[in-house]
Amino acid sequence: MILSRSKPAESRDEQAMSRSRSTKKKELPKLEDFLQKRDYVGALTLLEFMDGSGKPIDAQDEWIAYCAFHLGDYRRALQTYKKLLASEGSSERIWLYLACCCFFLGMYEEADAAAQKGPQCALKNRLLFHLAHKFGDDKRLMTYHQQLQDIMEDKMSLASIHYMRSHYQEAIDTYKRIVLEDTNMVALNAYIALCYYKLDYYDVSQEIINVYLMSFPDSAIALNLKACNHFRLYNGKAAEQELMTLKEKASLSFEFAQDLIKHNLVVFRDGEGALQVWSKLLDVIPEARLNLVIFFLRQNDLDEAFKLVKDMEPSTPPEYILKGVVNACIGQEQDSSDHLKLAQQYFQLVGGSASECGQSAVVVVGGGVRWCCWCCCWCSCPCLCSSCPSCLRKLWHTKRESVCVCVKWHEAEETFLLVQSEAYKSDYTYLSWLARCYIMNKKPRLAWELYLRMETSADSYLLLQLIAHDCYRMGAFYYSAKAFDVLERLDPSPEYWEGKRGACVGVFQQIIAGHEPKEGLREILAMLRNSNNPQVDQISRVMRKWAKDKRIPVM
Amino acid sequence: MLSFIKVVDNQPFDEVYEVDDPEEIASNLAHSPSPSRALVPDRPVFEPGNTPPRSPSTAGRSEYDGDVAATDMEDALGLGRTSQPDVAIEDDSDSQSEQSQSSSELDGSTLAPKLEGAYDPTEYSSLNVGDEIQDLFEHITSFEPEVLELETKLKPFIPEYIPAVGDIDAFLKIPRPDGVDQGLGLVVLDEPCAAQSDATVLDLHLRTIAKTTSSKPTKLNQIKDAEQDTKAIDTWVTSIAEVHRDKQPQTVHYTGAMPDLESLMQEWPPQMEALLDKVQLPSGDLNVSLQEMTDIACALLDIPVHKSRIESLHLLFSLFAEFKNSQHFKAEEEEDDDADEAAGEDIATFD
Repeated sequence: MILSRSKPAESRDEQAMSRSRSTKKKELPKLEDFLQKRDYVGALTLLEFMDGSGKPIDAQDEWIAYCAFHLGDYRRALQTYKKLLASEGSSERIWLYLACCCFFLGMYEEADAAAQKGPQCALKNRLLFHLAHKFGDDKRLMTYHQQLQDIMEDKMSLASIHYMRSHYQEAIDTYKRIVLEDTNMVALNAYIALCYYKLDYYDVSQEIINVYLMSFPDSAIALNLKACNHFRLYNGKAAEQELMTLKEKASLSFEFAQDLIKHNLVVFRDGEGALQVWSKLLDVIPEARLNLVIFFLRQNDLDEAFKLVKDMEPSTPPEYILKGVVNACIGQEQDSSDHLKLAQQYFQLVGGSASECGQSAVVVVGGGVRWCCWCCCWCSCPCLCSSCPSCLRKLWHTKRESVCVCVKWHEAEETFLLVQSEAYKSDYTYLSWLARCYIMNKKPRLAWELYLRMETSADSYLLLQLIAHDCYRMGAFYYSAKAFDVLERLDPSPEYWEGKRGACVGVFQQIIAGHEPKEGLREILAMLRNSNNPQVDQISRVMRKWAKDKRIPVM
Repeated sequence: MLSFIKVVDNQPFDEVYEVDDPEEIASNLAHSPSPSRALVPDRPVFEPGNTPPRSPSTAGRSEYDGDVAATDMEDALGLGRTSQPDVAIEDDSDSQSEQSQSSSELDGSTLAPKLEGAYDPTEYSSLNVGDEIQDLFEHITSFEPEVLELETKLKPFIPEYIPAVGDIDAFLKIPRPDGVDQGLGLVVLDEPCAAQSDATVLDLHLRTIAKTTSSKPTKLNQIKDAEQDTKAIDTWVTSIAEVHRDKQPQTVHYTGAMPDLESLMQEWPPQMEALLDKVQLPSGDLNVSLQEMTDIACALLDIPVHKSRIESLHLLFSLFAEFKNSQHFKAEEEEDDDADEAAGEDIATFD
């Protein structure tokens, strides 16, 4: 397939050749050459050189500002325009260009003021349109929206607003329509790929961005997107590889999108260097704040995480989810119903949005309070979830993959065993639920082993009680008896004696029925002897008598 | 110490009620007891003239083996995958009906928990044992195990880190001052190409080509982490080598024998110095041709002229450059301005 393009993509060799050609002829390179190649550093160097050698090009400062702007050096462009405005007879349009620089520097108020001074034109309208979006002023947004014309730039500008407002499908429709009409518009493929990325169609995004990369293999934006797709589809390592491709292709003086790349490298390296890099990019890259919150959540540093989200006005699903998660964590830790209520609201908001089509995990917390937590597919969490039938509280226990539900014990056990985090695994909540799952699934020995592995503590005492009672219910009398035996030694209350008595007799019954090995009887008798209740003798006597009849050695 | 005999009064969550709007839910949160790790025995407590009160755990327990729960779960799952907002509503009604269902089930229901695989004394009723043993068996059913309520924790999923892809071109761009439309943002993304020129190297190239010395000093870049970034160093070395290749050669190989600069810089003999005090060196006004002037100058400076005067002149200017850059003479120059001026004028005539 031959892609039509108006300009060939420049490779390094071609560029070197063109340079040596020009040197052979001993002619100064033309500004146009650099502009066509989008080599703005080269263009700026030429402009400065011409200025230094006393032969400045016409409208030199405007060219310098133009190059600096497209290079991404908005600060320099801004300075240059300020200089131009200070000189006499400058065009009114300069105000608009100045406003553009301010816009990209995030100085929206200044941009607005400067734009108002510019002459009425399409650029001015687009600028004010985008500013209205940044200010969140829907009324103004509508006004400028109506003034958009049927020209390419305005269509593109509107599509980018769709993108920023998470209306990706609308943006895709606009771009696709234009590409169908004019196949020269290769760059639009990159925009479509960006939209698909946001819609979580990473493979589609990948396919489309490759079309662009065939024409322009050194595009930083496209390579970064490809890396992000790799991250979502495969892993951080694969993603990092893509960024390395860009690094190889780029020359040393290439500084465009460096913040973005630095930010993403930390993402791909699973947060390595998060504090140094992301803290510096907090107001440069919007994702940096969210990532830093995730970083603190993973470190279990809730205070820091809360500080970061406290003043954040959520507008995108990831922001809502993170606000919800932070509030849920703090609510749990501080037992604060206010935080839990907030978390619930945030989760509900995300869950209700059509754009975020994800799976839902409904978690019901006791005390008659219903909780709805939506766990969306962007977090790639294969939620096992269920609605809870009653006021039973459920454990939603996750480490990347598990949501546990205690209705189906088999599933619950499997899910619990997926938990990876050591911190979670040593948590009593986890242990107690796992023990209960084991017992319900007729694996009391595993539950008993959980107890044996625990340090003696208040928690192990609680677990012992759980095992004693749950095993009794399930007819696992042997382990129930063992647990009651230990409990009784710790606290000789009649309650424990009754439990132990019942459990021991239960084992006896199962031995008679042939459900338990006969050898167990000796152990039962030993356990009974540990108590000094008057009933012990009588019970032991009956058991021994039976053993004697059956010729089972018990002494 | 915990005791299981603790009688528990109705808890706020004992009641199962319909929830109509989220506001109501929220308000309940405020007065519901905080989850504690305490073991709450939920053996129903009989109060005179009262039906068995429901307790949360019994309610829950009755559902364990109930198919209702399982189907509901699947429902919720299925719906969750298709449409999000529906789930919220569906689920709401689901669990409400569930709650009412479970309460209706429980009203007047038996106390014995029906748990799948739980101990069932009837299984053993057919055992052929004596009365004595049969009496012992009473102990099994006389003890009723507790259903301990376990603490649950909500561990929200912590999302993965989010890579940034940037925003789409908003077409707030500055047009070229000459008005040419390059199709930036349409034909090609409006971003600089990856292979940007190195400003320093390009500047050196431009100087070479233009053969002018710019008044501006050359900017020098620094390579950070030079040890790690060998690529940067290599690139720099090759590009500078390229610049030098394009430049005029640094040394000129003379075809004939020429004295070296060092010997040319030696002092004149004292007689000559004495003479120079009295006699003026020939100036540019001398009425001779350029060739003759060259010969005169070279003869004065002990520079031989072989076939070509160009080589001799090269040596002459090299000598001049050497004097000019010499620290020793610079110091003298400042002391003795006049002499310097005379010498400068002198040489300038050859230009």
